[in-house]
Amino acid sequence: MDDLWYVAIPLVLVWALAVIDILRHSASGLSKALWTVSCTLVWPTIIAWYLLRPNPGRIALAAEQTDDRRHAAVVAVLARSQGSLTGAELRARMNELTDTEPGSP
Amino acid sequence: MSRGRISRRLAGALAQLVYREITVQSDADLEQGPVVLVSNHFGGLSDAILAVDATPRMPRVVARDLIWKVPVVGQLMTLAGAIPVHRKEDSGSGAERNDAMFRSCYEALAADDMILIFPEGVTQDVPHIAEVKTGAARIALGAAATGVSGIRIVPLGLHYEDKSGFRTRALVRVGEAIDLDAWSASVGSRDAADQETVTALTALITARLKAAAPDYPDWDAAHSYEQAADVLLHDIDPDAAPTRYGDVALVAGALSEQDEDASVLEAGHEYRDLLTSSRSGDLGVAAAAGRAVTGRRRWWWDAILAIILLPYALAGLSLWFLPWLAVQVVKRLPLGAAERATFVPGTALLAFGVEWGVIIWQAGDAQGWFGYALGILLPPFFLTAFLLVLERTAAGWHKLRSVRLGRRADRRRLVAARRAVSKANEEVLWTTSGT
Repeated sequence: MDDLWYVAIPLVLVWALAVIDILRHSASGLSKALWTVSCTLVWPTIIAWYLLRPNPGRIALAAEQTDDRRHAAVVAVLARSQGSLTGAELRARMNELTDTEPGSP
Repeated sequence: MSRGRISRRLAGALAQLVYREITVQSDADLEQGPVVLVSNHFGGLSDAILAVDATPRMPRVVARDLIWKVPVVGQLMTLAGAIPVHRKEDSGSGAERNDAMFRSCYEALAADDMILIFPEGVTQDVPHIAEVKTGAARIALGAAATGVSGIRIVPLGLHYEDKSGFRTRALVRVGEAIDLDAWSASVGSRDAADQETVTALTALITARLKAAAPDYPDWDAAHSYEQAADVLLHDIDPDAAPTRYGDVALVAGALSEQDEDASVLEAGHEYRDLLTSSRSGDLGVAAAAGRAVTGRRRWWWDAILAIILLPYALAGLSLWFLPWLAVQVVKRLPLGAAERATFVPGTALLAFGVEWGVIIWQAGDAQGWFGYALGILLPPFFLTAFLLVLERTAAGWHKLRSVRLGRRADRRRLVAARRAVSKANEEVLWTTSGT
């Protein structure tokens, strides 16, 4: 995501300047060209990137190594229901995943 | 491109249009070999779309012959290589004509294809498996009898946040496969004509399908367990980002399975009722209960994205308003949830498809090949921008609402009810069943 900033911020500035220029009714040829290019190429490309990037919803639970604590909790709960974790082990795992015990205020 | 790949792409595009999040839980290798996929049937056409989208290759869908009589859909079924099954209730002469269906299934499995069958027969409006018919077992055993080896029967559990909604979320859970050769060797029979063998295999298919699919007494219980699962996941990580539906559905299933005294069900039900009546959300209550709700979700990134995309979202609104409206109207028709689960994706396919065709034709007519190219490429981007801005705005509004807690008296009751859910979750998962 951070890499995108180096592209997105200059593009936003260029786009904003072109819009301001057009709104002031003194649109230069360059502004019109920038506006056209950003409408037809740049933004659709960014939307395409956004659309086609790896979908975080499409994941397999087999990947147990994850930074997502909620997902790690799901893996542990399923392991418990399949009998591969004991209640005590699940409790320890849940405590590992959270700073305080679930339910405590 | 083969017909199978075209059909899979089409189903994939439709699934991405109808659902905003699809989680697939699968440890099974479905890339090759003869596979009989057996799925629960809660959502009509939605089930087929989700199942096709979640599997790595195009299955041959076994479906009621009535579907071929629907214009356009019938042609699409033929294009997708679907196999018609004739029911006596529909045509009056099922048994004889189904010989052709069985032959087609055997041939597909002999060619290492995957077939998809909904063994309950018809769409169910309850969140549990109905009686599983013997068709899947007879197809698998019959194919094995013709010499096909290595057949696996793989259960597919389809879970919906709202099966008749548009842009909702879903989970596809691939269950434990049955290795037909190993099973046949263990029971000492693979005769498709032997009633006892067919019944035993059907019982095993039912058990595996139940483990993968939703299994709740009613929808109220399903939503109560989902509420309890949401609490558990927020307890683990009280981040402002919404919980993934797939995670919620999986935890809810585990809670329901182990909730012998229904304590989680009761606590979840009460808490959900209170949240609904006070128009609050769990994160707000978690914060009131002393949980430090963090905000890793970058709302400002969403805001910048929404501002940048606004012109394209407006273009998307103007281009796609009519199909979007058509889907919204169908969503509100006084139909059963199961019928809507067929009509909503069907309308989306038809309305968005026709609109896109008209745009391409008009643009090409006016601008030649350049117009055709623009007509093909730009409208999907504009639609994405429209949906993105709409959904991010709705999510922001929902977040604002979820931290509202209403009156002080409500707040105390909500916090107490939430604590009861957390305690019940803890007891069911790791205290009562201790070791």
